[in-house]
Amino acid sequence: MNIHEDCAEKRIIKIKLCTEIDITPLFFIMLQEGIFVQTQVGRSIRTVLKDIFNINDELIEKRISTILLNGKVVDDIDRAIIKENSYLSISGAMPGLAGAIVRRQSKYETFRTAITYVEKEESYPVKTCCFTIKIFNTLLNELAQKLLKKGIILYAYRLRQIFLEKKERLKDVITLLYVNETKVESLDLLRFMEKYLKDDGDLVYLNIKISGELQYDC
Amino acid sequence: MDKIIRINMSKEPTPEIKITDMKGYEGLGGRGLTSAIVFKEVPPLCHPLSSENKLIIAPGLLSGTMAAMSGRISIGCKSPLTGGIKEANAGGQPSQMLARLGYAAIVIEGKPKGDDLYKVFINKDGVKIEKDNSLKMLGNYETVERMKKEYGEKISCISIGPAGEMRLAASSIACTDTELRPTRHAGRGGVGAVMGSKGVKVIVIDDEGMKMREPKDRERFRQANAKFIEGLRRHPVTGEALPAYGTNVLTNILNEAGGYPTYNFREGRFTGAAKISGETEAALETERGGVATHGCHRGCVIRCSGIFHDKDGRYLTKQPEYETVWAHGGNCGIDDIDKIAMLDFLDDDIGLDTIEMGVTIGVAMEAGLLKFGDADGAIELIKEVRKGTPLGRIIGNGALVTGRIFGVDRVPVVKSQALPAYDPRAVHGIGVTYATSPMGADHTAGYAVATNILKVGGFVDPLKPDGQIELSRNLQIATAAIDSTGMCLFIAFAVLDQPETFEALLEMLNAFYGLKLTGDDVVNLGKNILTMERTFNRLAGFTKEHDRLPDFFKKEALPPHNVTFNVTDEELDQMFNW
Repeated sequence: MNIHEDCAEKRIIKIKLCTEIDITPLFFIMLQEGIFVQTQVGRSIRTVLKDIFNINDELIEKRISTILLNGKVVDDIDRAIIKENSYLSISGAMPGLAGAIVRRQSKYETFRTAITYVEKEESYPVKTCCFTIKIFNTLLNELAQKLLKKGIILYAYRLRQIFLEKKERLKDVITLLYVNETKVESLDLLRFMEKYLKDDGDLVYLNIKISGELQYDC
Repeated sequence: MDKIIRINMSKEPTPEIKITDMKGYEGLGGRGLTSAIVFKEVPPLCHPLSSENKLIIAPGLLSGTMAAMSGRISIGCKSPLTGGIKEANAGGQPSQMLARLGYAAIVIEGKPKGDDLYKVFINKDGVKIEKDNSLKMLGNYETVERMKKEYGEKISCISIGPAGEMRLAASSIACTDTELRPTRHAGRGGVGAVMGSKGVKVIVIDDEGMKMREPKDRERFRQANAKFIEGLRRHPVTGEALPAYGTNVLTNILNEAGGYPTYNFREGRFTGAAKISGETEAALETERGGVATHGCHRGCVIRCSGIFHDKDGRYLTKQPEYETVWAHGGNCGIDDIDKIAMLDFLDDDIGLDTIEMGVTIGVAMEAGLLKFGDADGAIELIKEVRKGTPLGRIIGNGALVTGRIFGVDRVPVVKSQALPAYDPRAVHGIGVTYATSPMGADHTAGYAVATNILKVGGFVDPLKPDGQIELSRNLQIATAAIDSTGMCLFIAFAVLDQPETFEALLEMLNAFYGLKLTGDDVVNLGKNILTMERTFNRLAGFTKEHDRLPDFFKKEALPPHNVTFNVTDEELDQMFNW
């Protein structure tokens, strides 16, 4: 599996779920483990966050207090840029001395120089890429729904895992299902998985919309 | 709070109880008081389990008042684990109750000749001690149940489990929470073994008929407390993240940063982290009818704890904290939160320090005694401790002993005490505190307590090469002072960022005692405490060579960032040059 080649070749199955209630919390573990999002190589973290979550600078400053790029703590979100293979982790305020240390522009930066992100001056191709994003802490409740509504990319096996683990909680809340923009008549998840999610390596572009009881709103 | 209970366990035919004044210890509370008594009254070279050692239990200066978050209790002695001075503190109800009864400390000294077990009862009418051998080798939960039957449900208890009775070096002392469960532990350093060596199983406190402690300036105190609470509620850590997810919210971010010690500190990242994170834990608690937001003592406004139910929706344990989830989880390669919660329950019931136990099991895994990831094997090992088998006693004596017995050369301890949940190779500054704290490796010894607000030694320049030494020093000074107030260390997050919240804390102390304390006074208090602790350790035989991390942290690069601990010995030796 090569996420970047697959992303570029657009071999992606588009799945859209409409649900009666908010099912975002069922995806929280997956969002902590990381999912893929498309962007342009070379964009700053700030630009990417504004784009994928549709949020403003004030919200970024107030709520996204801890940001790691490739496992290193980012202080300057305008200098740090997303490239192929990037993985970005975002979190609300973290407790403890450790939490204070890994905060952006922390007074305790000196404690963590070994894991502070430094942007390298290097060239990169201007192209679309998929990068990994992980969401933690209070941001799960604040941003996950927005992200799922906009759309995430993940491997088919991971979506299958969620469907299998949560099938009892999902079976009565999915009101409409689309694959590649075509409505699926049966809402039987097992049959759906057999038909559309059988190859582990397939990429799925998933978006979820809460329609409530108004199906036409989906 | 101007009296000290002294119980001499050596006296025949029954232990002697004396109520004394505070002479020589005026103005001290919490860690300041426990360390002062150990420093003045315990011979540094005594055996920690001998009659010469003393166990001191002290509420903080603001405990028993209306002050929010003031329910911490300090427990001090010469540590059987480190061989140096020890202060371990816990939440729960005993601190508030003891303070309301007017007692600044309980000092248990001497040692009974036989193997009888005693219980102590303290209420407004005085202090009683009596033999109760029916309590022998009971777990903390059953011990508290018996006390409830005998004394009613309005009590609080300070007790030891079988580990303390067996005088194991990793044994803790349990304090009951608001539900009268023995879930809050003074965990570190084997304080339970010292209580066990004194023959005291449980101290029952009943504050019926007592009122809140009255401040000298009631209105000023009330206003300061309101401002303090407002600051805690407004801050995103104390007002949002901690109440929602507890301390275990740290798992994901430490893991991402590559500073989450995994497989006995071999790696800095654990693939199963999201399965045991605070976010996952809280969701599971809510789903099963437990509680994800809960205070460990009355007057707590942060409420970072919770109640963990098993798969059948029955109470299993309190919400395991970050350190516990890490120690028994990632450090041992275990990603099953239910098994980790079971280990937490067993530790609490047997009376064991969860950090020491998790690290010890990691060392046992390194030795090949069981495989990394073997959750059931880990549970069986803890049960061996309860049984008191030779293997159980080895495990119950902590990581250093276990490493020695099984020939492991990678044993993550400082001053014989297991390292907590932050790898010092990724976060060097915490490694400085681990190495130099008089307590042994202790993540709470240098907490984020408003150093720049206090201006301890001036503002820290992060660009200076010795910045992390200076910063660790300032943090340790500030922490020692805060540990004397009875305040939960988690207030640090708010006072760190909000000067007015720190000022409110200082104002509470001043209004309560009629003082004019300044930041400098707080700094001096912290320095005095650390000086006493360092001096005691020096007289007990500690040298600068004890202020070191194990060698492998300098030599083994930690994946994924392949970093080592690079603070030099010479830099570490500058720590206490103030």
